[in-house]
Amino acid sequence: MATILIVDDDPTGLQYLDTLLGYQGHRMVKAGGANEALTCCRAGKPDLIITDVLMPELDGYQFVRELRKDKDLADISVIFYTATYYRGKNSLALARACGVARVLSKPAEPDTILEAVNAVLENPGVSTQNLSLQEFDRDHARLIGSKLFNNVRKLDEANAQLRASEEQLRRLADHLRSAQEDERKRIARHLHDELGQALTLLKMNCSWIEGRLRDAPEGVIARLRSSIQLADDTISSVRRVATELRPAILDLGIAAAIEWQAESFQARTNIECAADLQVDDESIAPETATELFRILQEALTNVLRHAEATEIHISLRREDNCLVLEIRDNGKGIGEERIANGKTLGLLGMRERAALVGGFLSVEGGEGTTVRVYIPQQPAGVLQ
Amino acid sequence: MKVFIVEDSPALVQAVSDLLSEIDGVEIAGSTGVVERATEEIRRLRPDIVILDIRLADGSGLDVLRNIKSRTSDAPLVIVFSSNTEPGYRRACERLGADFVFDKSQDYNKLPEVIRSKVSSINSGSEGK
Repeated sequence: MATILIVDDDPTGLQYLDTLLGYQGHRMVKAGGANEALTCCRAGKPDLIITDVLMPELDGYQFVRELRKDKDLADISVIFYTATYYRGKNSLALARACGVARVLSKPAEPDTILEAVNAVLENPGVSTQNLSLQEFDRDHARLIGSKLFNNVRKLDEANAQLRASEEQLRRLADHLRSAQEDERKRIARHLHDELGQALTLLKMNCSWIEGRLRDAPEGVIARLRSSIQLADDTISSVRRVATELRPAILDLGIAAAIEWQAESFQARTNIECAADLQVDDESIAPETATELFRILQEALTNVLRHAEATEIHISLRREDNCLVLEIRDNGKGIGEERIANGKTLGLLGMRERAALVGGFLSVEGGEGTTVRVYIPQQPAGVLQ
Repeated sequence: MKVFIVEDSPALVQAVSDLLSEIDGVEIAGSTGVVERATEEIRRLRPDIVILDIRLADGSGLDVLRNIKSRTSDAPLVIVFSSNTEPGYRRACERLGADFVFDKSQDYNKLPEVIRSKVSSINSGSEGK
């Protein structure tokens, strides 16, 4: 039975060989890298080394080169066990020149590994070609260079795939967002118009009955009045839920919706909220109006959560051929790291909403925070 | 006095008719829930009062309001009777010339009041609204 040193920076690679060869009765020594392996060799010379090639500190070639330079370790048999892509013609030539006995592809079947290990253990000894340091460095650099080139090409391909799938995801997100908007509109309308209307009728009927029950016992009148009150409260809840889903005022255009939002935000939070609206609604598409409104809502939520502001100024205006919505507060100002952090979901959502209608978003910190949405508007008769 | 109702819920047309049925001298001249037909019918029937819902199945009552109030000489009195009476809607209605804006669930008792006073002002010979 032999002492076998296995070298791999990937623990699962080590585990596999350890189990397979340990089971055959060999004494197994493990190292996670080339430097650790050299130390192990000096502490107790193994009969065979099985090593990975692509490792962080020294790669397999440099590791074997180090072994061959040390007269006590120079004659240790070595097997390369490496991923397939490291097995080109040049790789094999360099491995042979370094006196590597076998090159096995990862992952290899147990039989293949056992056959190679047994063969090498039966015929120990190393046949190295007389490779000068200069030649080794040249061939090694050439090999690494060509691997690098291949890897860069693969990275480029992977990047292109990533971009394509990013684009797909963005389109999916756009689709989900507009489907969500349609769904909200439909449910809000259903709640407000059908449920709200039915409750209104119920309330009107109860009042009609109340008007004709002048001589009824007090208990009956009281019960009827409490039913009217209940209908009234339910109407308010239904209207509130419908408005939270999608305020009907959006049907009157973005200016009316912003005005309403500013008023209701101020009433709810006591943060002074002024709106300066200089844009006619006619020219703004309903989808644009909806996205601008949702961005405004998100921006106001951010002000409430993070800014500690006392005043907000909203403006909607035209600059050149752009529709500009600006939300400015006098709070503590958003930090650069929060602006830069792509994971700030609120900001990300606002950016995507702007992009959905062909626009973009800018956020500035400093004295308070200013969020601006720019939506380019095509001048009449100009096609881009 | 002729009242025309623009409302797409038949049950609400009935409820409003019931509310007004007890006022002497009031006749429900007609009703519709369709935006286009509303303007035509109002021009044809020339009611004194229009009770107008805003959110209709095929469009907005605001368009009806704009159409009927654009003819200033013989425009009827318009009472917007709607579930959308938040300030934005109220302002839009008033800008287009609505005489009253009532919330369906809160102000239905004001409908007979306003119509009674209109009837009595006509009976007493003045044309005040």
